[in-house]
Amino acid sequence: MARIAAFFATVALVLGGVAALDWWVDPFDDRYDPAPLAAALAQPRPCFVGWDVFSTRAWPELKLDYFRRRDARVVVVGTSRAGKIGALPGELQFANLNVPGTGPETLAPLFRRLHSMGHGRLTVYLSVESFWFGRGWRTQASFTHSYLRSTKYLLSTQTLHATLDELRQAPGAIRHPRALRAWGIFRRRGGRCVVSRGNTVLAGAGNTWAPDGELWYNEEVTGAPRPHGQPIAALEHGGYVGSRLDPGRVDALEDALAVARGYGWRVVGTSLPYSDYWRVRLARDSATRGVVTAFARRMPGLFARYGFRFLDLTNVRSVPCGAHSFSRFDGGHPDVACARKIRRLLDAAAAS
Amino acid sequence: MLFNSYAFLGVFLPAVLAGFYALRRQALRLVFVVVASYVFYAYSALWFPALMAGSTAISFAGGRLVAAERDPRRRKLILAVGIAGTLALLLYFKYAQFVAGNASSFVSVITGRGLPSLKAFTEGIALPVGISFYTFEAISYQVDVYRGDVPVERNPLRYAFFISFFPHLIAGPIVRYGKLEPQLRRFYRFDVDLFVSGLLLFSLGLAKKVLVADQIAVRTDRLLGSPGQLGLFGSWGAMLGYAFQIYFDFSGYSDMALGLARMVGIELPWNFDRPYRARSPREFWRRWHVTLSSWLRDYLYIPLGGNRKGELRRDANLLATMGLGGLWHGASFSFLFWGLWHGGLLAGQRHVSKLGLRVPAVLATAATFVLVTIGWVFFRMRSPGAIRDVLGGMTGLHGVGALPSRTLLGLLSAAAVLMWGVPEEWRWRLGGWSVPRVAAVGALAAVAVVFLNSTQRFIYFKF
Repeated sequence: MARIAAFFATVALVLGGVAALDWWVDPFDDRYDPAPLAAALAQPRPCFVGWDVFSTRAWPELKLDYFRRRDARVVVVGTSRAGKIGALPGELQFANLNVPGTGPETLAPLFRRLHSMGHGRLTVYLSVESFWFGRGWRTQASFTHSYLRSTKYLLSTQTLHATLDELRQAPGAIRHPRALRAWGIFRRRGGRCVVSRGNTVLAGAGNTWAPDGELWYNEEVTGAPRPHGQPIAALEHGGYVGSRLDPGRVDALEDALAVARGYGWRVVGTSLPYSDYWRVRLARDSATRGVVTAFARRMPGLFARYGFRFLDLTNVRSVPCGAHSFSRFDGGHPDVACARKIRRLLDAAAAS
Repeated sequence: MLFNSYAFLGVFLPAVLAGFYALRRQALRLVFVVVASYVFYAYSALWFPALMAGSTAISFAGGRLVAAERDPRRRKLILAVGIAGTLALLLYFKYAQFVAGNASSFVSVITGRGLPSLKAFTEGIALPVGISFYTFEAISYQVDVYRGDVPVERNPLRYAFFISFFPHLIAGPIVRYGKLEPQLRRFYRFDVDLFVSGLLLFSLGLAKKVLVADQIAVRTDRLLGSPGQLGLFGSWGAMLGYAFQIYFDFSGYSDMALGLARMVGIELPWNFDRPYRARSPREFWRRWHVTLSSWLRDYLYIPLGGNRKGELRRDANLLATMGLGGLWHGASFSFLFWGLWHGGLLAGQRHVSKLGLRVPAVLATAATFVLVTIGWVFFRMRSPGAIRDVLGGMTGLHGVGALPSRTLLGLLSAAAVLMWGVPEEWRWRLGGWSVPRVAAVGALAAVAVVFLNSTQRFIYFKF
């Protein structure tokens, strides 16, 4: 029996050693570091945070940190399409928790974690997407802590290779692992400041999170000309495809609404605008028509069943915003001016 | 489910071992392992177990009917029907698409239209993993009962265990019922030496698969992805790499299967014995996939007449046996050519040996290895163009080209040291190993676990 014990003890020791080394060096920034956001918000005029500071896997924790530090009572939840719905002038207790890749499965765990932070009764502006309910959609953002996922990360070949590469190139990283990925506060003369690695954001590379959690594209921070982005409806086309709403995802959304109602929160659901071209095209295309029309028909009733309102703002004129009120000409991400109007509509719906 | 997966290592195996040793009656253990094996198989696809149950029922009933019948002609007829029933599943799932595709192409040459609806129908057929292996086991049982080599099994549970036992279910070794049956009759009491031996053999197999075969595969796949660009060095580097890859992949799997079985007190037949040490093609087949080669010998070559009917007939039998053995691996002309290549080598060896030449052992081993490696070209490359490209590269028709990467050369050197410097792992007296050696294998297993997420499927899973 001593040999069997020795075998498993060695396995545990080696795996534990690898996991500890990978955890310490953390070559892909899997662990969330609160220091950059703390520094950004501690400035007299709070700074933006560059996307290069955190890995995408750390975004959910970053957003929860925004929520915590701003002591938020009003939050926006959704994908990047909700990224511009921001705080009103002087409004402190607000956080935009949008994370690209958010889907129905993201919501209930997120709500539970928000509730566990004890901010009391929240007002949630929930941006729901028709592409969440089609065949090709894959929810990526997760606020659930998964030990299995962490274990796989810590015990993966790729992580170990990256750790060893980093240590080979910079042996000192074993003592100061984050030194290689140091961040700083960079200021534009007379303008905004950004926390980023090097001066990358102000030099024109990488998007940012605004001090209230909004998503600001690089050109919106630097003032560079708007580039042409890939239209969201084309990017997520597979998500719209299907003849009916995916019942599992509808269940996940209902679970989240039930959780919110259980906490006594006020939720306003909304479907954000598309450019006329994409709205019409999605509604007419035989591949996407089924999901898009079923979504429009079903959502108001579904939210109403839990005592919540739903604003269908898919038509850009219902806000009203201009035909080109979109970031990057992509026809799916309302710009700052349009998002302000949307915020007023959401506030009115929440107050009624 | 793959042996080299988190689900198997972290959940399935610990649960099976715990359940097995918690049960104190042999019948309950058999039921438990059969159920676990069906769950293991269902992990690949939910309908696979139904197919295996069908094959099990047909061959079990066939064995019972053959044993009950006294009239020789009717016995033979029952055997033929039983084998046909068992084989029908394999033929349908494995060869229908191949036959329909080629028939359609043939008809298309004549009529210009082909058989599109038949082709479309057969293209939807999915090949159930492991079917080639358990079909051969079921056939060998019926033939053994017919020949009187094993007594008929009247207990369906023991027979279901024989077919479904998860360590050998997916990719062998191909077990004969006579080998397994006595081990199923006794209640196995935990033996620490045997358990340690199983644990270590499993770990060594995992390391062979993950740390050697898969690491070589990454490099050779890159080279063989564009065979037209390979020069002399590149094509030989790639094919030598593949020769080692397929050996370490399949023998690693076999070691894992043997090790798993040992953990529950069952000894399965070994499958490999450092095959590239062979000094002749004949010896190669006594070291490579031995449970298949002995099956082909006992149930195909000898019934065809073996070497008892003259030289010409013997050569034809060798070609037929090895050609069918090639087709057993997959429904493709390249597998058929691979089998015929080996049939030709075996027949050629018989003729050359009559010349009485004395070849130094090193030279004979090298020549055999080179011939086997050339054969792997047919096995690895699917299209005639790719086969021509690689063979052209190996003969220098595309120039000398660049040397393979240093990493690949290092891996090939390490593989060669293991091949010619160390005996096959199942021969090691692992049960008697001391604590430091056991711990060293534990460390190796842990490193293999870290490499699991970049691992590849076992090559023989698709056969």
